[in-house]
Amino acid sequence: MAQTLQEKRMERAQREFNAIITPDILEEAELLHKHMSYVPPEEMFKPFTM
Amino acid sequence: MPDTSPQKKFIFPFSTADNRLGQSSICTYLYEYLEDLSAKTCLHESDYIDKDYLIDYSKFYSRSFEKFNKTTDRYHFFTTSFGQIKFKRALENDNKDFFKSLQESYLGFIVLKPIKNILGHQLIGKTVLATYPEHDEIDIRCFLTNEHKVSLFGIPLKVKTLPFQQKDNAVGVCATVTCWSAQFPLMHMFGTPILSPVEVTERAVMCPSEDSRNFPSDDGLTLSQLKYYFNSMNLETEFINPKPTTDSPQTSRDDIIADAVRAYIELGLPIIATLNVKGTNDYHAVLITGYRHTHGKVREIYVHDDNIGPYHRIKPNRRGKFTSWKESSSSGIEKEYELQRLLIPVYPKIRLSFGKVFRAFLQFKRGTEILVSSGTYPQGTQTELFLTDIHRYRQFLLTKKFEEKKDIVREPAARFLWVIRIHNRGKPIRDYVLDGTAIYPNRIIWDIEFNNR
Repeated sequence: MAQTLQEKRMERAQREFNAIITPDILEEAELLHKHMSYVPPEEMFKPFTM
Repeated sequence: MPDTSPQKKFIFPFSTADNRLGQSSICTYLYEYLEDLSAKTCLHESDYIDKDYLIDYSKFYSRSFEKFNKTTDRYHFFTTSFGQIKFKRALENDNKDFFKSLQESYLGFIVLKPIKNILGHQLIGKTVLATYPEHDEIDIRCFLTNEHKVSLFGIPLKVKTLPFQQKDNAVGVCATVTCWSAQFPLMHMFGTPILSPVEVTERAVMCPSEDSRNFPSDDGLTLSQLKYYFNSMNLETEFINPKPTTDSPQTSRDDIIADAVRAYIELGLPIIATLNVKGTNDYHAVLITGYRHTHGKVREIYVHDDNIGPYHRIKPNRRGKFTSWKESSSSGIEKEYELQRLLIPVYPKIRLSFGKVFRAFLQFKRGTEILVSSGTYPQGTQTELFLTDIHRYRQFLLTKKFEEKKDIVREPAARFLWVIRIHNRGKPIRDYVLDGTAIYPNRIIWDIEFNNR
């Protein structure tokens, strides 16, 4: 089936994007997400009292 | 004979308003804030029924032995000067021109609750005051605002802002009040309900904590209770730890807090900042409500701090970062806070987290820096990251010129989008638009190069 204009454009954009955001970067993104979103249990229970 | 006694005057010059509002540090802050906004006239509305206070009253204060009033005092502020006789005549004659001038000069209101704190100061209730101006020389201020309609004896008024109120140790301290303010933009965007402070605390404490009492609530809420509160509204919560890892790709040029603030305020999402008073075990929560920038560089962050007031300015520290900030109290005591974490309540369909997309953003940022130093991009070219929705983004696209525009704006796309934008002094050069409903930052929807000629 013939590709639509949008599909062709997206494919080209995705190819260029993948050249910058390589699998290594995606792996690092996962690690950064884990680091940023982790809250130590003791911090979860400290009350904001001010 | 006309009644001219000061007690009966309900309209008076702003210069005398401090006598009416009280002498607490928050009142002093509010007075100075309104002075900055060029307030000239104050109008007192007595026996005002404030919904939030009324619920707090019915659930807590009405069952006390001590008698508390169930109505409040509301003070309205205007940038024009007018007196009582003119105002009463306008009410009598339905003077639409005068009402229009009131709307144009309206700065909002402050509710004074009939409750006193331990120092004998009356507590500030719902406060709806205009923001600082959007433009300040070359700087631009961006705020989290929604339009709030106000009826003053039937005169329709409105103000664009985010409501604020002071903590009340009986029904909720800093974290409760921060959640209360955060509800307004969330209601506007996602239709979540608005609860009074006592109801916010009631909802949050359904998640157990180690503290013995829920009410009076001066023991405060915990981070787990904040998370529970937003989750109970069918929202997700995103946490951002601003401290870099040892092998972090961030450099000294990156400021994760400034980047996160810009990213979420763009869509209109509230950001809760949790703080630790350095060298103590005291923790505080405030709401980030806006920022000021020069060509994309964040110069100031604004916070609703229930101990200080609305739109309190936070400057970067000596290293140019917002990871710690100093505050001086009215008594001259300086406190240094360390920003521990950002908490952002998000709609569940916003699945691509800031942490994941931030790594991709840094890669583009480094690439842009190389292209600037090689002369491919002009000096002053920067990269920014923000979350938006398809409606806002299409509205933006309609104002720009780029190839295949008539096709691109008609194409289906995800409801939420993360945009990595390369721009020069605010003028967009290129947008990498990612699917905000995806799990990984690997799905590009559009790559748009703008034609700025």
